[in-house]
Amino acid sequence: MTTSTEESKNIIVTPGSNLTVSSATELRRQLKEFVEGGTTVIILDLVNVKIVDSIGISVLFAAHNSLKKIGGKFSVINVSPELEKLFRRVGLTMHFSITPAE
Amino acid sequence: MDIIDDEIVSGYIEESREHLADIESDLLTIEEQGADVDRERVNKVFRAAHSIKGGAGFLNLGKIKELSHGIENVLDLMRNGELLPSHEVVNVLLLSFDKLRDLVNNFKESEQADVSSYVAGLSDLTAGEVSDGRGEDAGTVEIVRIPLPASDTVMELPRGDLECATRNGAIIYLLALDLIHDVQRLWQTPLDLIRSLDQCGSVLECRVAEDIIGTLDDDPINCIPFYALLATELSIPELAATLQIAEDKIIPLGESANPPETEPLFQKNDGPDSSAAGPLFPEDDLPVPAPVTPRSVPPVRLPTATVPTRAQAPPSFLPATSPDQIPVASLRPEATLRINVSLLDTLMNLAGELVLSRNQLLQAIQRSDQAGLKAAGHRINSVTSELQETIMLTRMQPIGTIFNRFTRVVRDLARDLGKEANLAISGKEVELDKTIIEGLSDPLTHLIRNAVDHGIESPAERRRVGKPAAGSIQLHAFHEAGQVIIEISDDGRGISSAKVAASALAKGLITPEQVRIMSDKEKGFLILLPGFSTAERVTDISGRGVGMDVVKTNIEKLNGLIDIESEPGRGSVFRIKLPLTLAIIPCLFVATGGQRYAIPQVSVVETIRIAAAQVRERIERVGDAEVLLLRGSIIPIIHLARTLDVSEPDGVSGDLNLVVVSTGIMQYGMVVQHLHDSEEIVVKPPGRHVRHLKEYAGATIMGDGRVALILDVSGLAQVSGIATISGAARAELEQADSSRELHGESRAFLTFFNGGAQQLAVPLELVERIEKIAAHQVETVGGRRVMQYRGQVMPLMEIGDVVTAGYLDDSIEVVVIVFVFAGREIGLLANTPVDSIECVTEIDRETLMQPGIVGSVIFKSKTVLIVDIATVVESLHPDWFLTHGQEELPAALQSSRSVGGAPTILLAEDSDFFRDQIKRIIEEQGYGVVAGADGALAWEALNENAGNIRLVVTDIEMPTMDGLELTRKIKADTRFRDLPVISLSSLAGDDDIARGVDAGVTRYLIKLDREELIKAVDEFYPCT
Repeated sequence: MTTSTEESKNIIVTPGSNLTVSSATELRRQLKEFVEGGTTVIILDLVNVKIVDSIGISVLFAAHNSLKKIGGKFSVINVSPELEKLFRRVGLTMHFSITPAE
Repeated sequence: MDIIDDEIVSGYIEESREHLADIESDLLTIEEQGADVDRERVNKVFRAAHSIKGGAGFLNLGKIKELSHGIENVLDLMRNGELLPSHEVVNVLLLSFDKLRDLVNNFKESEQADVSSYVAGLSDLTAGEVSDGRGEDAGTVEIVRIPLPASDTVMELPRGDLECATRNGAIIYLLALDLIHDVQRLWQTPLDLIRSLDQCGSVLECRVAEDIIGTLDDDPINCIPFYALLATELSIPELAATLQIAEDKIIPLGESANPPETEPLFQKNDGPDSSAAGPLFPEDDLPVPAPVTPRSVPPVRLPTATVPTRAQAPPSFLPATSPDQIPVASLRPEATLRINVSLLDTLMNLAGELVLSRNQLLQAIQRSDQAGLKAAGHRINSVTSELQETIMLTRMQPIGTIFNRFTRVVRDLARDLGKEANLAISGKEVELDKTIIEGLSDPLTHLIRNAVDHGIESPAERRRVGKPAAGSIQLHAFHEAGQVIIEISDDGRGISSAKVAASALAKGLITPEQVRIMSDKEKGFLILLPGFSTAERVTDISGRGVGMDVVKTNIEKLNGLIDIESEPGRGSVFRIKLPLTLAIIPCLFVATGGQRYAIPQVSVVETIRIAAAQVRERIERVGDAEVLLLRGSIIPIIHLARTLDVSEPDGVSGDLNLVVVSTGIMQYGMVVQHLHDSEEIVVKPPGRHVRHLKEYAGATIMGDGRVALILDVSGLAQVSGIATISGAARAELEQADSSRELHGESRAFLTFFNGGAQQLAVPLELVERIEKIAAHQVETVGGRRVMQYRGQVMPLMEIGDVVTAGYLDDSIEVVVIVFVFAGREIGLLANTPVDSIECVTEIDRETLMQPGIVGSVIFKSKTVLIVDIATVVESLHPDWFLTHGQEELPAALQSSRSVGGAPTILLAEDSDFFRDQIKRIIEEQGYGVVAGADGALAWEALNENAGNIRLVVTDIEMPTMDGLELTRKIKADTRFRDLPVISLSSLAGDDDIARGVDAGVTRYLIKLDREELIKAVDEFYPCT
């Protein structure tokens, strides 16, 4: 469901579909593995994502919290305008970098 | 963040522009209010600056943020009453907002801009207040911290925002929700929730308690706390119902100082329960230090300047105010549009219906179901028109959006010029198409500036002429006949048409010849010529190369018209007439040479059909151009086919269809082959290959798929060169008008032809009736022509019987003009066209005199012979006059009408011609008449015949002594005061009549009507 590209300690994770209950849980598991494997910088590419539900949001927060604890960095790229609005409104933008889609 | 989504940025830019739009007028009001400043208004401006700052921070627009922060600081002082909104303070703010607007509009270059002088100026203001000892924390934004229940997260937001939000009776609620329970379970996404919140009220802040969520290592949680600070007028139960949440999750903020600490709403995943939350809405004793100096803000400067010096001199940072810097950048059109959501919903509905109708149509086509086709057609028709209307609505915007900034323009300009001017705005709510509103911006600015610069005089000059020192300018928009009218009026010095003409002459824009024939109004319009400027010195403000011609062009581009009215010394009115929208306009369709053309309805004055027979009479040639006589005015005409060089319709002798159009300055008639319906058309811009043609304004596609070109009426006038003719024709008319004023009176004649081209005339008052007859009705009995008329045999004659003026042309329609002489009717045969003309009687009684012709007049540069109809009748029926008059009158009456053969009626009339006519009419009745050529001569005659005169008939307008004076004299003299006085005048106004009655006139006859006169004389002639 998710594909990832590894570049040393940096990882770009590109979920293949919307971040909803089922996929978000899977993503959470995967991200957790990466962090446990020593990755400190995770970039989440939301190019395929149109909808993020509550669980999805919690995963983003959790990933941020985890990486922050170990001094790493979590960021999100290719965010659709809709999602960008959501992230901004729930305060995600205050915590990590969000780059809108081109 | 370096890469910024265009959409977010444009959203921000638009929002900022919206915030900035009203600021000017708000600031100006604040300035006006001075110490009694309306806090809410200051707050509004403050909020605007604050929002701009917030967005700028998010988008990393440092300079915008810096500047808006500076502004915010000053406004904060102001709303706390620590800084008076003096003129200088407001000025600094205005200039800073200008700069801010500039930065926002050019946000890409904003980082390179230098705002330090502005920021310094702003902090001078705040620092100045510190020097007043008003408090150390001045110039900072007071931040209220709201600890969230069951979380370490704290919301921070400016106190101002909280206070503002509660102004309108709204209550602030803290919503403590759970994204899992309250959102996910309802199959909603968080975005849906935010949307619902937005609908309930204004969301001040939203936060997710990220600390509750924990890390990836923690077990997935079953609750995600989400907090929203919502200002709304809804009550808790209403809110709960709308948002589908439990009431206990809504905590009113203002009322309860403490959050429900007892039962933590959420369990944190790690860390101890946090229930150490303080008061939610700290008032005076804030547990957390409230004033927080926001980050990345230069520290407030220490006192350097003192208030008094600042109040006198403008702050040093002000860039030497050159008028060129007055907000020009702000006039840039916007590329995005905000529309009401309900409107969008309507559109969606309509689109849906359209789809349904299409399906119906497709099905009907498939089944070849005629009835179904018809039904679908009807439905599509109605849906489409509704859709069109709704779409048009989305483009409509109140004109107030551009009116607002003019208060500032007037204020700044008046100050720069050392004048005083107030702008009164009305009709802000009038809605116009967005495109038109944008296009109006420049012309209106120009007109407003002109009004201040050229119109309004200096205060000293105004006082000298007895006007209030402050000039008043009015900007007024209103609907009229499906159009929008915008008037810019001032009470200034007005436009001096002579000065304008002289200036245009000096610049070589027109020739002296043209000036001579121009009306005053046309001279006023010269200011619209390219290259014209009335200012004796070209000022920076109005005279900067772009002149009124640009205003005119811009307005014409919008399919509008501009009209100028000016009264020297009293002021000017510039009136702009605009269509409501550009995209769809009602047009009149006409056809010529097999082509259809559309004429915008706004330009159409009327349509006229002239019957073939009347063409010669209604259309005259002046020089080498044709003009149409229309209700006393002369308007030039063009033949559309000739002007456009398309094949001309044959049947030149047929009826003429004319469309009278107006370009705003002038009217002219357009001869077309056919007139068709008026339709609403969708305007398509003309293709590139025809765009240079002035004749066309665009094109449209008609219902049958054919293309019709839209005519540009001003372009056509220009191309066919009729502008000057109109001037000439009008000059001719005005000449007539002015000579009428000189001599006071005009006379009416009936003109007719008698074979040939010679126009003849008889005084209209002698005419009883005009009858159309067929040739066979004329019988010849005993060598004399007669016709049966009203059961009697009426003798007929023609002018040719007596006068050498040609003979009747039987091929042309013949009419009989009926006269009554000595109680008998007699008919004069004449050729059409007959027309009644009114002209000033400068009757030439010599040049063309011959028996039966009393003289000639020049009417519209043609000679018209005036027939002495009485002489003609007399020469044909001498017996009537010798016998009838005397025989028919009873002897008693006869004797009473002349006393011992001496005249008994005094007639005063200055026109020889009419004096003769009236005298004859009265004498026919058996009275003796003594006449005087003016009041004084009549007075003499009256004294000479003192014992005999029984009645006075007088003209009003006369040289030496007029009829009124004569009447007064008569009434003042004991010998004559019982004499009845009948006055004859063409002055028909109520005032004129009142004046006459006042002077003692017994019967006021408005025009010389034979019957009326006879009746009046008979009535008032005293019986003995």
